Amino acid sequence: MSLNKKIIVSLLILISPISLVMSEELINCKIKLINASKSAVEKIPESLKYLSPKLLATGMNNFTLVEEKNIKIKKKEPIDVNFKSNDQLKFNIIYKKTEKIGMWLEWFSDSKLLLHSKFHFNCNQDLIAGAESGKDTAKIIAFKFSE
Amino acid sequence: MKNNFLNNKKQELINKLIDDKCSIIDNLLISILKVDQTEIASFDSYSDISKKLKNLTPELSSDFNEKLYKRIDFENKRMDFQQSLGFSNKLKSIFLGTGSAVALASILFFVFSNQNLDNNISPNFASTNSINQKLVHSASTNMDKNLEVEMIHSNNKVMIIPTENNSIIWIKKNEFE
Repeated sequence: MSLNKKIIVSLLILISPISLVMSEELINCKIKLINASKSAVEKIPESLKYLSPKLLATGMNNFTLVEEKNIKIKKKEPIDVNFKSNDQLKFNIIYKKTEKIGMWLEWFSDSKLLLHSKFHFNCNQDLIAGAESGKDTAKIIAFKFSE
Repeated sequence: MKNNFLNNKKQELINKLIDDKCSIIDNLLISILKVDQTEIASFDSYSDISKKLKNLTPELSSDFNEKLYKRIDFENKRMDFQQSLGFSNKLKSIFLGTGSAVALASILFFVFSNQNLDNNISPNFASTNSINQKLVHSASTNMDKNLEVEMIHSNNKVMIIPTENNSIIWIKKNEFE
């Protein structure tokens, strides 16, 4: 083996564990904040169509995408996500397996705690949590995780 | 029947004798025992009792005494046997108890050491100082196997809306707001 090859192999051996550590699971997280209401006419924007069955299951039928966040997160690193609407999410991915994610979540709205929960869910599907804000209105957050 | 002169073992011996279903002879013996417990307090065994009884009841026939001796010897042996049995049972209990404890500790150690420790890591969230926290809790509320809610704290009523996949967590508006 030539000297160059030896150097390359050595570098590869040295780099591979580092790259493994570096590549350790940056998880893409897409969070959508949606306003929902009950109205005479059903309205679901194109960007939310794929969520229709779940959104309609909430009893609302009029939806508007308020804000969308795309963030990269690491496991076990708590993260705060602030929306312009004074909604704040604090969450922490505690594990991610092939199909499952475990997560702590706190959801504040106008600094009031709406939800503090720990759950495990299918990461191939959106996770939806909603909170009624009025008699016929609500806001919804939809999480989608991918690698 | 309790007498200050009797230690526990003697009291037990006498009680045993009295509580047993006795023949007429035994009943007679009982009546004697009841009359003079102070005397009996000096006895150490059934044999001693029987000897003492012999002195106490000189008028009894030899037939009576023979039956009495047999009865007393039998009781003596039976109680010795029971005591030895009790001891071995105690030993058995100790061994079984220790064995079970070790087995349980091993299982718990195995289970916890293999658990995903990540589950125990809580984020540094602000503590929920809600007055009216409701724990909707876990497994029983899970409507599908894809969403497992381990805990929910909220000031409001929380529902789980079932869907085919990842049921929806729905927070009701607080009526008092």
